[in-house]
Amino acid sequence: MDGTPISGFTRTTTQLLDALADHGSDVAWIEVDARFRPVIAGLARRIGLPAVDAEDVAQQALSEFVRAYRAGRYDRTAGRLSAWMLGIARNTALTALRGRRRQAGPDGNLDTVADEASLRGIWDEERDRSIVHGALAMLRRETSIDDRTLRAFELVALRGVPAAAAATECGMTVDQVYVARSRVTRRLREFVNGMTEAFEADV
Amino acid sequence: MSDRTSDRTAMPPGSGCPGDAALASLADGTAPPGTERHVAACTRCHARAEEILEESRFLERVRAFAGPELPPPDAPRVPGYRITGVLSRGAQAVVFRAVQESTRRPVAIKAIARDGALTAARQARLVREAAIVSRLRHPGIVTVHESVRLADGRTALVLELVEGVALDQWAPPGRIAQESRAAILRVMIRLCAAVHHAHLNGVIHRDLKPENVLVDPDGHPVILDFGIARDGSGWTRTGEFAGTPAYASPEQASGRPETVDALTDVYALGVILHRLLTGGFPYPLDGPLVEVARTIMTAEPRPLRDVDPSAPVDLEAIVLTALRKEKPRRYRSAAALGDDLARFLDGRPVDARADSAWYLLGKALRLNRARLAVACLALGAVSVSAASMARAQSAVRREAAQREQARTEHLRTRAVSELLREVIPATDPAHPEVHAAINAGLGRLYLRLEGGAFTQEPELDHEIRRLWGGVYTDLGGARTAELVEHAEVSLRNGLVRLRQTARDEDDPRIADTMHELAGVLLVRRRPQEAARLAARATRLRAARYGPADPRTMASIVMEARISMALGRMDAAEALAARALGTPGALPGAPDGLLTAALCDVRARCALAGADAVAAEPWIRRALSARLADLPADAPEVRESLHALADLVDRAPSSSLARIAAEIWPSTADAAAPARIRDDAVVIGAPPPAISPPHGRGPPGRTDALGRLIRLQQALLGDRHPAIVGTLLERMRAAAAEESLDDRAWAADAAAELLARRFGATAFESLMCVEQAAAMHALAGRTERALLLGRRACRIWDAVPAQARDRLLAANAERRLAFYLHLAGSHEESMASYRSARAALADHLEPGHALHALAAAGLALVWLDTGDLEEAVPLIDMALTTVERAVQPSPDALGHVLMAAGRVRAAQGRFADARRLLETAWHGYYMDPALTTFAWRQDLLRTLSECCRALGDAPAARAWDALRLPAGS
Repeated sequence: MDGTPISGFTRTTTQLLDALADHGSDVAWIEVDARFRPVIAGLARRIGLPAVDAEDVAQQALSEFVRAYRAGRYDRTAGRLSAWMLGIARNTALTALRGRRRQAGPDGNLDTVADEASLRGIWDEERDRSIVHGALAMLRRETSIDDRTLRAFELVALRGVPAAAAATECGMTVDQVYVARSRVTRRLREFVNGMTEAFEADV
Repeated sequence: MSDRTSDRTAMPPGSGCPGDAALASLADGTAPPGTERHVAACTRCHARAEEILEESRFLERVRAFAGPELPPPDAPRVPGYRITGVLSRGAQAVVFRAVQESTRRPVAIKAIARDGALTAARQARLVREAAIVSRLRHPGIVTVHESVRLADGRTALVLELVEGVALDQWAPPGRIAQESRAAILRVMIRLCAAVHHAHLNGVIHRDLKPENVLVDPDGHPVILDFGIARDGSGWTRTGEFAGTPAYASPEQASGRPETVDALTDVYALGVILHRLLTGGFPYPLDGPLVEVARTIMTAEPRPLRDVDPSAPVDLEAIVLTALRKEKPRRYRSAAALGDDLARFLDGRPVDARADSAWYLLGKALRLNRARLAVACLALGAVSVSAASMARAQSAVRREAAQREQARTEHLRTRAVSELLREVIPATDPAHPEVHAAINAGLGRLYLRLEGGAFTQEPELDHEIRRLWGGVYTDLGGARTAELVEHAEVSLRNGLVRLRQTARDEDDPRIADTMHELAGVLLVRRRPQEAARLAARATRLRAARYGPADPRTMASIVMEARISMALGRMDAAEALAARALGTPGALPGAPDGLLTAALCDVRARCALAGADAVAAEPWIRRALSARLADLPADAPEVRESLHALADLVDRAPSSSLARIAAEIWPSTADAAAPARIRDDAVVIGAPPPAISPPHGRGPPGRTDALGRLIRLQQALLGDRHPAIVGTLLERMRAAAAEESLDDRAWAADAAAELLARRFGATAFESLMCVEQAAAMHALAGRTERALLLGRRACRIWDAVPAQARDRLLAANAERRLAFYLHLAGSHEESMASYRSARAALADHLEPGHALHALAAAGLALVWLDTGDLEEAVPLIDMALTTVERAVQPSPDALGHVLMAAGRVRAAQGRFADARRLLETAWHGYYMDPALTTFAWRQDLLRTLSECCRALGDAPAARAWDALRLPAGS
C-alpha cells in the first residue's frame, strides 16, 4: 500500500471503476472507500446525525455499494457514481435520522434536509472539504517544498498569523513569506484541481 | 526567489516597484503611500496584486474547510500519517494524535520535543524505547507500530492509540467508597500483571506513576512511556537519578542505579496504590530534592489507616509490604503483589501479613545457599566489573558444583541458622525494632502453626517445624527464651502428629524432627533429653540411610556435641572417632565440613585432656577443611582459630603451633595465642556488605586477613582457590580502611595467583589486574601500574571479539594511556588515548563523563609535551561534557578539573585555573590516600604558581606546604 496516494487521489473515478471491474483490486476498493467515506460521513453529520452515527451511515452506504457492485447491480451507464453514492447516503442517513427522532422526539426538519438541491450542495461542499484535506496531506508529503517554506505557508495562510510574525518565526523577510505563500498555494491549488477533476471524471 | 519576484515587475529592480508585502496590504487599505498609484500605472504589479488577492480568496476557502482540523502548530511532518491534535506535551516529548492515511487507523505519534543540545540523548533514548517496548506483547503495555524518521532527522514512534484517561484521573484520589476501592484494586491487579510481563522480558520500567498509565473505558490499564526503562544492557549512567521523585524507591533515591531492579517497580506500584487509595503519598514530599530523597530512604511510610481509618488492615499490610525499604522484604515480584491483591479481593488471607516469618525463613535458606555457593568459590564481592567477576566465579564454580550439590541437610539447617544469626541483630541495640518485628513474625507463625493453619499441608507443616527448630539450635546469643520455647513446642507437636500419621517409626521425617528437637533442647540446657533424642535420630538414620550417610553423620556430630555439653568427653571422643573411622564415610571433599566438625570434637576432647599434642592433627584437619571450604568470616573458622590458639598455648612445640607462631609471633603487647584470638574475632566481623563512602571495617582486619592468607598457604598450598577468596576479602577490607597500599597489594597478589592458576591473559584475573594497576598508579608506583595496565589490555585482546565488552575494553585502553603518561611515554600515551577515545565514541552515549576523562587525559599529555594549542580545545570539550554529565564520580570530576586547571594556568588564565584546581582539590585530591599520586603534586605546584601570579603569596605558601618534599 506504500506509495499509493490515498488521501490525495490521482486516479479518476472512471479509472477507479475500471480497475474494480478488471481485477477487483484491493487498492481500488480502498481508494473508493477513502474517496467517498469522508464525504458521506460529512453529509450525514451535516443533516443532523452525531459523529458516531454518521460513521455508521458511511459504513453502511459503502457496504451497500460493494454488495451492489459485486452482485452486478451497479450499472455504470445509469449515472455517475457520485450520484449513486449520494442517493444511497441520503437514504441511509434519513433512515438513521428517523430512528433517532423516534427515540428522542422531534429535533430536526426532515423536509428541508430531504430537499435534493440542498443535499447536492452539501455533498459538493463535503467533497471539497475532503479534497482540501487530501491536498493538504499531499502537500505535507511533498519533498520539493522545504520545511521552512511550508511552515511559513502554514502560519500565514492557514493559521492567519500576520506575515511579519511568521517572518520572524521562520527567519525570513516579509516578502519571502509572501513568496512562500504564493509558491505553496500554487502547488496546493494544483493538487485541489487535480483531485477535483479526478473525482468528477466519471463517465 | 528574488528573481521570480523581480520578473513580475514592469520596471527593473530599484525603480520603485513595491514588494509583495506592500501589494498584499492594498486589500486592507494599509499599503504605504504611493503604492496604489504605482500599481495603477505598473501592469506587472497590477497583475501580481490581483494574483495575491485571488490567492487570499482561495486560501480563505481552504481555511474554512481545514481550520478546525488543522494539525497543531508544532506538528512534525510524518510520512503516511495525518496529525490531528496533541495528546500530551511533556518536557521531553510531545505525543500527537494522528491517523494513518492508508488504513485510517487512529494512532499516537511520540516525538522528542525540540530542544537543541539535549535532542541527541533524547533521540537515543526514544530509539531505545522503541527497541524495548517492541519486545513486549501484552494488552497492558502500549504497542509500538513502527518508528519513523522525520524530515528534520528526529525519530518518532508510532504507537497504538489508547483511548482512556490517566490512572489518577480515572480514579479520583480521595473518594473511597467500597466499590471504587474494589475497582481500583482490579485495575492494580491488571497493572501488576503487565509490569510482571515486562520484568519477565528483562525490562524494568523505573518510572511507573499514574500519569504513565491510561485506563480504557473497560477498566483495563495500559502502560505508556517506557522512556527511561532499562533492559539488561545497563544503559544508565552511574548516579543518574532516573524517575519521578514522588514514586522513587529508596534505592533510586540513594543514587545507586546499579541496585535498581524489578523490585523498584514493585515499590512504585506500592506508591501508586497508596496514592489511589488515600489521595496522598506515603511520605511528605515538600522541600528540596535532597530532602525528599532522604525522606524516602529513611522515613516510615504513612500507614493507610492513618489517612483512611476505614481501610482494611490486610490492605494496609499489602501496601506496606510493597513499600518496604529493604528490597528482600518487599513482594518478590509484581505478580506476587498482584496475587496478594487478588487474595484480598477474594477475602482470602494475604501473604503480606502472617506469612512474613515463613517468607523470612524461606528467603534465609535461599540467600544463604547463594552465599555458601559464593563462599565455596572463595570470591567476595568487589565492585570492579560484574562481568569479570562472573567469569572468575564460573571457572571455580564448575569445580565446586559437585561439592555444593552434595551438601547435607545439616548444612542447610546450619545455613538458615547462620543467616538468621545475621538478620536477627538481637545483640545490636541499634535495631531493636527489627528484632521485635522478626520475633513478632515468628510468634505469629507459631500461633498459626499451632492453630492448625498448615494441617491440610502436612509436608509444609513438617518442614516449618523442622526448619524452625533447626534455626534455634545454633542461634547462640540471638535467641529469645520465648521463641526457643515455641520452637520446642512446635517440634514436639510435630513429632506427635507425625507419629499419628506416619506409617511407621521409620518415616525419615520422624528422625529429622528428633534431630532438630535435640538441638533445641541442647540450647535450652536440657542435654539429657537431647542426648536421648539425638541417639534415637542417629539410630533411625543409620538404619534408613546407612552409617556413612551425611545425615547420619550430622546426627552423630549433634550427639557428640551434646556429650561435650554433658562433660562426657570420652563419649564424645568415642562417637567422633567411630564416625571418622566408619568405612566409606567422609573421606573427602563433599563432606569436608562434617569431617571438620568431627575433627573439631576430637580436638577439643584432646585439648581438654592431658595430652594437648594429640589435638594437633585434629585441629589441622578441621582448620584445613574449613579454610578450604568456608569464607574467612565463617564462625567455624573462628572456632578453629581459637582451637589453634589453645594449641599454641598448650603444645607450643607441635609443628602446627610453630607454623602459627611464625605467622603470629609474640610481641611485647601480646603473646601469640592472644594475637590469634584477636585476629579470629576481627576476621569474623566483616565490614558492611555495601560500604558507605567512608565506612570503616574493624581496625586491623586487612592485616589479620593477610595473616590468615599465610596460614592458608601453609596448610593448603600456594595455589589453592580458597586463597583468592581471602585475598578478595582482604581487598574489600582494605577498601573499607581506605588503605591504598593494602588495596594495591591485595589486588596484585590475587591477580598473580589467578594468573598462575588460569594463565597470564585469562579473563578471570582481569578484575584484580585492573584494580591493582589503578591502585599502584595512585600510590605512585608507575612502573608496576604500567605493567598491569598492559596486561589488562592484553587480556581484553585475548577475549573473542563477539564476547568483548567494547566499552570496558576501551576504558582499559584509556587507563593504559594514563599509566603511559605517568611513566613519561608521551607518544605511546597519545596513541592509546586516541584509540580509546575513538572506541568510547562508538560505544558510549555522548555526554558521559568518561569522554571528558579521556579528553582531559589527552590534553594533559599535550600540555606536558609543550603543545598548548592542542590541549585547549580538548579541555574545553572535557569541561562542557563533565558539566553536563549527571553526577560524575568524584574521581572523574577531580581529574578533569585538575587537568583543566593546569591548562588554564598554562594559558595564563590564573584566576580560572585557581578556581578549577581548588575545586578539584576539595572534591577529590585532598584525600590523604593520594599523597604520593604524581598528579596531586602537579596540582599543588600549579595552584601555588597561580596564587603567586595573582599576587596571593600567603595562599601560595599554604599550598606549597602541602607538597611532598622533592625526591620523597
